[in-house]
Order: sequence, then structure tokens, then C-alpha cells
Amino acid sequence: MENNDFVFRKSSAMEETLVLNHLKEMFGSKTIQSLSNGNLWIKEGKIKEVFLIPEEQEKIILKLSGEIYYAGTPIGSIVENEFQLEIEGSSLILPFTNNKIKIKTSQFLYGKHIFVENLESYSYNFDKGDYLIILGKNNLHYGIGKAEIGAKDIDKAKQNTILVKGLKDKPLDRGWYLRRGN
Amino acid sequence: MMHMSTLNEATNIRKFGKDLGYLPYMIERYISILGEEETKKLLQFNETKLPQIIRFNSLRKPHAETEMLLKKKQVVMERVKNFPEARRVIRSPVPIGATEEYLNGFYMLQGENSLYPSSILNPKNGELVGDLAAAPGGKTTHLAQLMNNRGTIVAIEISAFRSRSLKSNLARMGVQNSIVINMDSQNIQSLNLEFDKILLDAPCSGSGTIISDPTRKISKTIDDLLKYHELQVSLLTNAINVLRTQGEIVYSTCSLEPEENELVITKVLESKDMKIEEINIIGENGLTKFETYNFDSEMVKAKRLYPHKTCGEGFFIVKMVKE
Repeated sequence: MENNDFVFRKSSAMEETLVLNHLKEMFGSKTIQSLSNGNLWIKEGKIKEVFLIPEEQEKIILKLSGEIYYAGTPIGSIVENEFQLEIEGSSLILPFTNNKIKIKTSQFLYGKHIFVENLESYSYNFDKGDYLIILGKNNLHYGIGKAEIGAKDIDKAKQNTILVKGLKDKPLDRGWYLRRGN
Repeated sequence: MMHMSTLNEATNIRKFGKDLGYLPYMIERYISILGEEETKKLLQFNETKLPQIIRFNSLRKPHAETEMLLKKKQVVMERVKNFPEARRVIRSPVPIGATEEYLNGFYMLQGENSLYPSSILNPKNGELVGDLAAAPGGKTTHLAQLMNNRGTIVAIEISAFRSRSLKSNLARMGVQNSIVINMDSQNIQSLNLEFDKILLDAPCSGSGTIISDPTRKISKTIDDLLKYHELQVSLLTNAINVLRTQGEIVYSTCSLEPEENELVITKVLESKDMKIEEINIIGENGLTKFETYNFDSEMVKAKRLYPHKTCGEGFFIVKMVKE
């Protein structure tokens, strides 16, 4: 590997623990099942990107000497020792978690905030700071965000209160694929 | 009289081509390959607009469910012959490349004729497949779908910028069995892998895509075609070097130029033991002669997909087996 700007390597035990603990604590222990299909790998660059790679591909990667840019499924990133679940990671754990809300509008896909008035339903009593998977019409996956208020405060909150902040510079909503992917 | 009429027709087509902005050499070679009447049809077709084609992605959602979701959005579609997974968009009140279903990877926008190379390669679960010059990933994601996310695709792309769109499409479409390497595909031997199958949709002059990119009418000279030829020969030769015996390779371009197609294959066959396989798709047979060039007689087994005859972008496709 010469003149590489990044390194693609297996995750360390510490990194793996960081990811697993994040999933368990934020989304429930069942979500760990979503990772049973492979192992975690890290692409180190400006940030650490975390990939879930099935064993079949892992065997090939171990033979390669070239500059691996991407493999398997990108599930999130590690920044300053904190794991952030991203678009595909949140899609992967979707069947295993209750942390979901459904919204009426699609502005989240443009990296914009979700306001209380945009909320259609929720089945989980989330607290402020909890991560939520965002679903839209026909239960389509929109992405992931952090609750700015708890579920118990929704009824008394003003309609224009921010429920989940949109972060258009991060790969947290599926609109990212149009904003940054092409 | 007959002779004069043919001369007049050719003159008219040359003028027609000039008026449409083509470099003269292009018209001359189209007349040489297709004849005057077909050249006129090609030039006329290139002034129209291609329908949008979508390929449903079974890695994300069964086709019927995606179709139902799009119908709910009042998208009107029709089936595409030979491709049960594809639909032609007749009418859509929403931008078809920006729906929630698109963002969820339920389908890919992909030209009809560009569905052929991956289908012809026909990769199977468990195989090791190379995809050279892979970005933006229309064909890579198609390969993954055909493999049902099993086996491995090693997708190679030289451009870091284009690798970004490849990565985005792979993630969006739920492809799990790919490894993307940012390198020059000419150096594929350095990977020390032996592939079961390889798709080389080679970088080309793109003369089959004038309908989508009219700048191509003036952007490439014959010298450019010869430069592409050199690169294509090198890419194909190196690809064959890493193919296992009895392994299969599909070479395709979206160019109509013989220098980038039949001449590349003929050149490579001089030093490589490859057998050209029949492919049973629409299109005209490959050329065995063009201007001063004589090509391998087996080139008739290759296919040329002309835009005006297939209602799609122009393609050249050939499948070979390593002996």
C-alpha cells in the first residue's frame, strides 16, 4: 500500500465495543443481530468510516494489496471516539428496534428539521437525546436523527418546536445520495 | 441516373450532418458502415429524446411492490422487452430520479441497452466477478442483483471523484457483496486475484450516446479514437490475464467506432487464446471489415446496437471465453 490517503483495516476490539455498545444502549440489544452477517472494518481517513463486511468478501480483502475504497455496507462513522450510525446502518437495524417515528412530510430528506407538527406517529416513549429512525409515507426509510425533545413533552410543545434537527452535511438522511452522492 | 441519385443522397446526408453539427469524418464513416438511408435515420434519431428506463432492484424490494408504490404516485410505466426487471417510464408527475423510492434504492435509472452487458455476463451466486471502470455503478449494482448479493464483485475505478458516485449507488441500492478499489484497471494483475467472470464496459469516445450528449458530435477526432483504442486494448489484455481458464469476459462500449470495438478485439485475439461466444440479443452483427481494416471473422458473433434500430443508446457488446 503506497501513497494511500487512507487505510482499510479490521476494526480493533475497542472500536467494535464502541459500535456494539452504541447500538445496545441507543437502540436496544436486539439490534446487534443486524451485524451477525459479517465483521466490522474501518476505513481511516479524515474520519473513521465503519463497514459491515460479510466473511465471503473479507477473505478476498485479506488477499488484496490495492487501495480499498469501499466494501460491504457502510454503517456509520467514528469521530472523536463516538460512533454515529448513518443511513445504511439505521436501515439495517430497522427491523430490530422500536426507536422509530413516522412523519407526514419529506423535508427531512432535504436535510431540514422535523417539527412537532410534522410528526404523524410514534410508538416508543423516547427521551430527549435519543436516536430515532425516521420513516415517511408508506413506512419508507428516511434516515436517522436525534430527538430534541422527549415524547412526554410533545403534546404541550408548540407546533414549530424542532423535534429532530436536519443535518444536511452528514449522511443521516437518504437525500444525502442526491446532495453528495452524484 | 441511379448513380447520380445516390450521389445526391450522400451529399444531402453530408449537408444534413453538417447542419446538425457533426464533424465530417463521422458522417463519412456512418455512411460507410450503415449506408445512406440508415445514416439519415441515425442522425434523425439522435435529435430525439430517449425514454427513461428504470430497473427494479430486488435486493431492496420485490418488483411488484416497487411498481405498486410508483403507481400510487401516478407514474405510468410499461414493460421492457427482454428485461422483466425493467420498466419504461411513459409519464411521471414526480422527478423519477428523486423519489423516496429511488432514494431507498428500490430502482436504478439505467439506459435500456446498458442492461445487456451485465445480463450477458450472467454472474452466479458465489462467483468472483471483476467490474472494470465501474463508476457510476449502474452495471455493478445490476451484477449484484443478478448474484443476489452472493459471491464477490471487485469493482475497480480509476477516478476518485467517480468512485464517490459508485459508492453512493452501491450503498443506496443495498449492495453488500462489492469491494471497490480506487486504481487504474490496467494494473489489475497487482491484485493477485483470478476471476470467474469480468465485465469490461470500457472507457470510450461515447459516439453511441450523442442522443444524450450532443457535444460528442464535435468533441472527438480520429486521433482520439486511436488513443481510446490503445487504452481499451491494454485494459482488455490485462483483464484477460487475470481471468481463469474457461472464465468469461464481456467487453462493451457505448461507441459505434470500429477502432474501439472490432479492432480492439481483433488486436487482443492476436495474442490471447479466447473464443468468442454467440450472444442471443437484438442488434446487428459485428463488422468484419471497415475502411482499410480487416477484422477477425468471428466478429460476426459480436453485437452492434445502433441507437435508431434499438431505440436506445448505441452499444457494442462481445462475450469471450478464455481457452
